Amino acid sequence: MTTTAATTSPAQLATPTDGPTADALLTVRDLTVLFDTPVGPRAAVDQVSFDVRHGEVLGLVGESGSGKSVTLASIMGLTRADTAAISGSAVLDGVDLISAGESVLRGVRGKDVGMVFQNPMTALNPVRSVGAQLADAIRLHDRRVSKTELRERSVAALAEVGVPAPEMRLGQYAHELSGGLQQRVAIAMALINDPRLVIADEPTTALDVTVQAQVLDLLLAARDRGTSIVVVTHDLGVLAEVADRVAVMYAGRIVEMGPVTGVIDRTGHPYTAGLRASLPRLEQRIERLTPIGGAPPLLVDRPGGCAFHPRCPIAGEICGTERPELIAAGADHRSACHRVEILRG
Amino acid sequence: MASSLAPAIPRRAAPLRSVQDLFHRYGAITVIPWAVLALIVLAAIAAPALPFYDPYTQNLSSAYLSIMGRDEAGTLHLLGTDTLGVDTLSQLLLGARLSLTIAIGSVLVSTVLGVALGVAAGYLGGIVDRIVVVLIDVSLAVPRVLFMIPVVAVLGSSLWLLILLIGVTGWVVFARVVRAQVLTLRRRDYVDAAVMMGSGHLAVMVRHILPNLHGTILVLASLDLGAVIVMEAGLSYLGLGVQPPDTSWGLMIEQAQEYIVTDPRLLLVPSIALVTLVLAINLGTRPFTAELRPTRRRRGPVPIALGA
Amino acid sequence: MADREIVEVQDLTKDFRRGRGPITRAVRGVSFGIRPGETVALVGESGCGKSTTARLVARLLRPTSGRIVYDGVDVTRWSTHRMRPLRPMVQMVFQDSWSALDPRMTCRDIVAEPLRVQRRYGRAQRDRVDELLARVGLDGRYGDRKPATLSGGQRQRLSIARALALQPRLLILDEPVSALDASIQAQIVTLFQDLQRDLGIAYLFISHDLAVVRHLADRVLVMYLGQVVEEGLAEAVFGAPRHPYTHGLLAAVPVDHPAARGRGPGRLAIGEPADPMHPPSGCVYRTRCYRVADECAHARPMLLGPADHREACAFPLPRPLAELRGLAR
Repeated sequence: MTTTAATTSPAQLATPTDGPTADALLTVRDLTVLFDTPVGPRAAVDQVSFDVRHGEVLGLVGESGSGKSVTLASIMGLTRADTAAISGSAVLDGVDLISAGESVLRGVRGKDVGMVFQNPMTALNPVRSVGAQLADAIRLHDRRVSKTELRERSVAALAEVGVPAPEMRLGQYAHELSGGLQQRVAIAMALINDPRLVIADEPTTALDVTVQAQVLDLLLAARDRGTSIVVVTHDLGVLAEVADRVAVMYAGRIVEMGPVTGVIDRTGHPYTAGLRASLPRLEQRIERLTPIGGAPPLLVDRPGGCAFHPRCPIAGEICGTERPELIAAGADHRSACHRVEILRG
Repeated sequence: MASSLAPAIPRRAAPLRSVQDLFHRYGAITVIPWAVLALIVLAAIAAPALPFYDPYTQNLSSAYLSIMGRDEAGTLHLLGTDTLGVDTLSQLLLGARLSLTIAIGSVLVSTVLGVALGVAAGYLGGIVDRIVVVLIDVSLAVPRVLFMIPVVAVLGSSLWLLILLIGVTGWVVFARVVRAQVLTLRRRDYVDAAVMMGSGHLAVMVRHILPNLHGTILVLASLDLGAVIVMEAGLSYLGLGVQPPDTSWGLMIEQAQEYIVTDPRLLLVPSIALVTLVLAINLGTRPFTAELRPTRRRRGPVPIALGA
Repeated sequence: MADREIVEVQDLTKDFRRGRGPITRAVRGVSFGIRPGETVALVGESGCGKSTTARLVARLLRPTSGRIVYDGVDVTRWSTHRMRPLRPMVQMVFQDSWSALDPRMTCRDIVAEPLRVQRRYGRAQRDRVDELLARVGLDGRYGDRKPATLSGGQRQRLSIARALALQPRLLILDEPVSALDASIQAQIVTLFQDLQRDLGIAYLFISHDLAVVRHLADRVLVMYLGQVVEEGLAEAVFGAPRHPYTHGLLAAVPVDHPAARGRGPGRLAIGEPADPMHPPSGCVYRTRCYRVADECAHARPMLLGPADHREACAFPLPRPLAELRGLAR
């Protein structure tokens, strides 16, 4: 029942305030990443705030220029400090990753947080065997592990992600494996130290659809074991398959956030709605698609007011001048749109 | 996935409006060598028009004049005279003319030959490639200068022969690097698109492959220029290059050896000139060879590993 | 006459070998034709040979065996020179717009090049370039700029403009929208539809994205390991596919809506696509097939059935799409 929520005053700001939410594993507040451009500093990520709750899959969806990958990279300290100015906080277990030093981050990466990247071929070291890399992942965080235990845990990790003949794989190299297997190995590496959180950046984009389905299954299995997952993707279908909650990013900001059914079914933002409407459906042939006009803005060329307004079918005057903040649009569902009632009504 | 690594609309380079802009854009370390090079080249070209220019007339009675010395006729010799009374500055200029001619000429020959073979081998593949590769391997087995010695001994050392010889023995580097690059370029889809329009092999090589090799060719030519100048000096030093009464800096150095104690000027003048020229070339071509140097992390809009 | 296929390929086979190494058979025994104005789609996963097939149809590659026929003429072994007058008939739009456009040429030059190569000069050329840019929705102001200044979607439009320059009868589209943002994909797909409506061009559409294929294709060929395993009218193949691989593909496409999650038959394609260098004996799909039987290892099944829907399987099973997608009530 959304009508009740929609009748609450639009001025009621529901943005998360300072402290971390009680049941959140990762709390990101006001994350801002500025890059130097020929026209001055620009925010690739602009005051982004969200929580990742325990045992959930959060989908971060957006297109080019949305800032979704930069967001992840900044949280994990992978953006180069000399090119980006990062502010805000990302608190995991009481530790703010943004202000933490490299040594703290190194302790977190691979142990508390596992990372899976888009192209497994580049994520795996081509000159080290699979077994060596898995062992590295373990040993980096625990020097005292014995060789036997390293081997056992590596084999177990590979088996858990469905790699056939895991003992044999230990001696193989990345190029000997298919794309799907490589991604499984990459996921095994991310999971091997039992992290609380897994961050996956476009984990299925480079894969065939049948393999993609298997990889998504793996992520869900990890979630069922209690790991929280953040999946960054441009594919709404991936969200529909695995996400519990979704944050939609556009031009560096979160424009909509809420449970996946809410965002997809009763969307509160014209961008999300437009995206949904423009995609062809497998189940049924549509005569004609309705694309969103224009293109996602470049970092250096963002419109004033609401960044989406030039492409928005329901844009009003206020949209060109005033930037919308996230306001309530349903149960646990927020949207940054001045005209959200029009979508609902 | 959308290529979020696409560059933002590149800033159109602001036109250069003054000498200061030049310094600002390229830095003194590049602009000063350019000035030096320009000076040397201009001097070399203009030499015969200069009033004092006379690199041949001997005058034994005014041999070994030092810098700014005057001979018995009252003529001022800015850099003195040599063992036979010939004006040193004129010799320097003559040397410059000859060295630069040989250098530019032979680099041109190497470039044309090497690029043509490299492109043909890389693009056409098959037997053409195999032949070129064999030629490359054979050429690499024979040391360049060593090969030139007997040839010059037999055929003499005219200017044209030197240019041809140095040029023809220098093609290998060009061919190898160009071939490797062409192997990458020919897999670009725009090459396929050109084929689908009905373009023949030659048209594709000229219109699509060659223009995309500009940068590479420039880099190789810059590096080769400096090397060839030194090589020519070396050959002349060995007596295989320029012959008297003509002179080159290499020859001047060779002749000055025995007088190193009595008149170090005779050695210093051509040596300093040689070092200056090669340094100017190497520093002046730095902007072109920028890609070869490991870069420090720089500020600017950044494509990060994970895309945007 | 009007019904003759623009391009027909018969029993195409293409082998690749690295140096003196083992031979990989990328395409084995593929046959189909494309009639004027229709859209034929090749679908399949990596290693299935659809891109290689596309390049064979484009005559960018020569087949190891089989025939390629352009407008009734066998051009399989024709030289580059001989092909030239026929080239305008079949043009191609590539997946990677970075690689497809020469970075040193201006946009106008890129579109004008086919005209120049085919010797169509002068004012006619200039006007035609303007017309093409307008037709694909590119602002004329981009004419003098280099492709690097264009966005991904715009570069694809430029590629399309170039491909249309010679008035082709068939456009081969090799994953033309896969590299584009979701919101731009729809724009380009709509552009393809408009062009087909206005110009009557036929398309050979290569894609791994089944939803887009469903939207555009008249006929579909499903490929696996170089072979066509199921083919027919799009409505038939999508509506009630019969080959277990097609079942697997359709079941694996992510759901549209979270409510449909987990309601489908699950993963019907086991493991990964087989290695083209070491294809299984008999039916090449048997190592992944959820309905595999002993006989499948013995003989390679041939394509059986009427022209509007046939499959290469010893034990085909029609399954409605709704059931595969977990939507059957």
